[in-house]
Amino acid sequence: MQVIFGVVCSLLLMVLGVIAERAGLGASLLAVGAGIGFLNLAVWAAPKLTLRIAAVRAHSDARAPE
Amino acid sequence: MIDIVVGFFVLGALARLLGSDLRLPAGLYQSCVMILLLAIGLKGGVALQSQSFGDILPKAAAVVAFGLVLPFIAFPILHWVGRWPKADAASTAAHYGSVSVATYAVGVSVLELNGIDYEAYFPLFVALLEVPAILVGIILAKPTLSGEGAKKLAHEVFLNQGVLLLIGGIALGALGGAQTEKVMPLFKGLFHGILALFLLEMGRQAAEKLKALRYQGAFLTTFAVVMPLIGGALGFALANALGLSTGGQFLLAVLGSSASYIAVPAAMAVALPKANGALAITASLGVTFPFNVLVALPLYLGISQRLT
Repeated sequence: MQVIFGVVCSLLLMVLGVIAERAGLGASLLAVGAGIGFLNLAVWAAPKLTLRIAAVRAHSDARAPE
Repeated sequence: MIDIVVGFFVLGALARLLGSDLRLPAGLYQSCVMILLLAIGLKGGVALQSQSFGDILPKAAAVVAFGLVLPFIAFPILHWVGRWPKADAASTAAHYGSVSVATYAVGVSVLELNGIDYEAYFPLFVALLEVPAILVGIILAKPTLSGEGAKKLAHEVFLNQGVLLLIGGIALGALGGAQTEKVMPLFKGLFHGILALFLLEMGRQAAEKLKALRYQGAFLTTFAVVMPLIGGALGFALANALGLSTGGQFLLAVLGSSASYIAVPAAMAVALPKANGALAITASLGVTFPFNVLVALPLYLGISQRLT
């Protein structure tokens, strides 16, 4: 739920950022939106990547010769 | 080109991030806060002398209603989306319904440096916006307060340094007449310099709070960026409805966008002792204040200039 909120907000911020940039108000909001999106995706992906790495490590340990 | 007072904020933040031991002495920091609050109050009080009470009253009522609405927007996001406990969500919502005098001071500085006028009664709005959100936060959390606790809370809400010095400054400025000019070299002449010193320390404090963000996650950061923009958009809408000037629209958006980190934490510590105060402070000081100063204020200035 939190990640969905974060990603939706980041997309909205990026849309607003593009509008602001085209209106000559700078690209800072666009950058903030992209940063928020990256942060939320990183938080979502980090546990999955950690589990995956642990599984690969356990698998290679099991196959290693005594 | 970066605003010169904002540059001091960036310098303070960079110094902390690079590991410097730069720090404004506590007494000097406290003096800066007091001078800024009194300067804002006195300036508003002097300007109030030429204003009619009947013109300000409906606008003041609308601004109080604005302060009551903001926590009701922040609370569901924190409680239902963020799944925060009720007390934590209510406490943080109160921070975001109230205002940051420092952000307001930066807003005033930006207007003055750009030669843009604004309505003279704004300091009154700042004082008025300090209190309603605290009351809403308490209602949302429904704490059980003893008689002694309620007394202590009322003391924190109505007699905190921010409210006292702002209201006191407004009263002295309004009643002082020509004599006010005698103290203005300190409060008006040195305003930007003192604000710069204050922001140097705020930059350091904000950078220090960034460390805590590592443990609070992405949700807190997202909320602390999105909520100011919601408040800012509502501020623009209200300012338009009230027919405020370019400077007035900008300042009401700034007030809606800002979050308290001085007055509200003290009141919430008394009213909701079980709430995690660190969450709200990290969000308001570590994310929202820098976001407002560096991103939102230049954006609001551009929008307000295009709207009028």
